[in-house]
Amino acid sequence: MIKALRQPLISIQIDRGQQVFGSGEVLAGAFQIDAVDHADVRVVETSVLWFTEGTGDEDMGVHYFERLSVDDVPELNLQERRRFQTVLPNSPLSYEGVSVKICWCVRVRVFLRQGRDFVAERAFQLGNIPLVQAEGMATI
Amino acid sequence: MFGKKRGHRHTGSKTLGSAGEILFFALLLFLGSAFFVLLLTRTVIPEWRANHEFVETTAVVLDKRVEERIDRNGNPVFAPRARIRYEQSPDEIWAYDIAGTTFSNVTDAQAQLDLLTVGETYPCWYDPLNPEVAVLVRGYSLWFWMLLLAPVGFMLIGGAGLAYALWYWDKSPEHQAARGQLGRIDLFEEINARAKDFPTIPHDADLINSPGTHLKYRLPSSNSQGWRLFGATVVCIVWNGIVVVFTVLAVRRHFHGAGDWRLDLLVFPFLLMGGFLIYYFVRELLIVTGVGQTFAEISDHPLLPGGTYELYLAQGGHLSLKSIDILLQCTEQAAYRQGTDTRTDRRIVFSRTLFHQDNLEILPGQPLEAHCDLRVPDDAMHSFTADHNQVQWTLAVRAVAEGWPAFERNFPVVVYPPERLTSETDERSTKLESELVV
Repeated sequence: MIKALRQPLISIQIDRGQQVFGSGEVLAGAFQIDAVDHADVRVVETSVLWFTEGTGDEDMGVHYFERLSVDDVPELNLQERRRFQTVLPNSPLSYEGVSVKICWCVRVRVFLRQGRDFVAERAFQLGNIPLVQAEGMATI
Repeated sequence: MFGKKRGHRHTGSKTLGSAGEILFFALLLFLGSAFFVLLLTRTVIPEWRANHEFVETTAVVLDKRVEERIDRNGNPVFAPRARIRYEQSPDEIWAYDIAGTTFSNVTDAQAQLDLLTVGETYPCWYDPLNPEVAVLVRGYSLWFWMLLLAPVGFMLIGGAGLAYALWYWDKSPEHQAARGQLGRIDLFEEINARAKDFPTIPHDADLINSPGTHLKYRLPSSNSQGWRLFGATVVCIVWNGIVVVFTVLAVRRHFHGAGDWRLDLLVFPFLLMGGFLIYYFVRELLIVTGVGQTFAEISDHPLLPGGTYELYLAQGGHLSLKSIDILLQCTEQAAYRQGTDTRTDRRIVFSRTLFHQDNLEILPGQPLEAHCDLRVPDDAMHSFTADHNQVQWTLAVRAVAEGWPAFERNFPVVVYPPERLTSETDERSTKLESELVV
C-alpha cells in the first residue's frame, strides 16, 4: 500500500519575539512538531548557527547543537514542545555586505523514519551592523 | 505566538544518498584490494620468492626456442624458453624466468636465448617447495612494482572515502559542522582561547609581533608585490620562450623565400602579448627594486569600531611623488566554484582617505614621514574569515611618482566587534551551561 508522505509542521518561537540580539545575550525559545505521527519521528536536531550568503560558496558555523533521538531514548516524545537557550557569541555579527552576507538562525531539522528530513528556520540578527556600508563603495 | 509553517527545505532521502556514496567507495576499495591481491599473488610474491627463497643449483640446457603467444590485445608476443635438466627435478622442464617475460619481437627474445648454449651448464634456481619450478634468470620486473601504485591509489581513495562517508553517515550539515568544530585540536591553547571568544575573527598575532620605533606596533606589509613579480617573471619567460621559437621559425621561412603568411598572422597576436608581458615584468621589477620601503606603525591593535588610533608612515626611496594617499579600506572576498575552477570575487566596500599630499620630493636618507589619525567607523563590520568568505580591513598606501608606475602597498589590520562586558556574560554562560543538556 502506498502511504502519502506527510510533511511535518515545525514551529519555532523565540522568547518575546525578539529579533535583534547583542553578543553575549541569551537567546531562548521553543519549538514544536505537529502534523506527523509520533512514531514517524526518529530524530530532531536543534541548532543555533550562522551561515553565509552571497557570491561565495556557503560557510557555516554551529554555535549550539542538540540532537534528540528515539534510538537513544525510546520513551522520548519528540512532538512535545521543547525549549532551547544559549548565550550568543561575540562574533560573527549579522552582516549584509555587497558580496558577503552573514545570517544567524535557529534551525530545527526533523528526520522521519522513512529516511527523509525536513527543516525549518527562524532568523534573527546578532549585533547591529548597518545593512549597507556607508562610504566610498567601489569594485575591483 | 507560534507562527506555524511547513518544513520548507526537505532535501530528499539523505540516507539513500549516503548509502550510494558508501557503496561507491566500498566498490573502489574492493576493486583496489582485489587488484592488489592479484598482483601480489601472481607477480610480486613469486618474484620475491624466486629472488630470496629459491635454492641455487646448476642445470644443463638441452634445448631452446622462442614461443609465440598472443597477448590480451590480440598482438603476438615472444617468450624465450629453455629446456633444462637439474638434479632436484625428476623431469626435464621448460623454464626461463618466474614472470614469464615476453618481447614484442622475435629478435629481442632470440637475443636472450643467444646467451645460452645448448649442452652447457648454467646456474639455476629451483623452488624448494616445488622442485619442478625453476628459473635461469632472476630479477624484478620494475614496471610490475610500479603497477602496484594503481591499486594502492584505488585503496586509498576508496578507504578514505568510505571512512569519511561512514563518519558522516546519517548526519545533517549542522551535525557535521558541530562535530568538525568540536574535533579541532587545541595545538595553540592561547591563540585558541582568543579564537573561542571571537570565532571567525582572524588572529592578529602576526601583526603585533614587531614593535615600532615611533608607535607601539610596526605593521607587516601583505607582501603581494614580491609574489606578483615572481609570477610575472615565470609567465613572461615561459610565454616568450614559446613565442620566440615560432617567431624564429616564421622569420627563417621568409629568409628562405618560403614565407607563410598564415603562420605570421597566427604568431603576431602572441608576439603582442609577449611584448605586454615584458612591459608588465619590467614595471613590477621597477616597483620592487626602485621604490623604497614603506613602513606603517600604529598605536594599538586590534582595532575597535569607533576607536581612534595614531598612525605613522615612512616612505623611503628617491622619488618625485605627484601624490601619496593613505586609505583605510574594507574588502569583501568571496570564493566560489564555477565548474572545476575556483574563482575569487573581491570588492572594496569601504574606503576612507586618512592622509593625502601632493607634489613632494623623497630623497635618499630623508624618507617621507607622515602622522595621522585612524578612526574606525562606529558601525564598522568586524574582520571576518571563513573557508570561502572574508571581510578584510587594510591600510593601503597609494602613490603616483614621476617616471615610475603607480604603486600600492597594503598593511592588513584586524577590526574586532564592539566591546562588551565579558565578565557579566561569562557568568551567564556558566549558569546556562549547567542548565542545558547538549
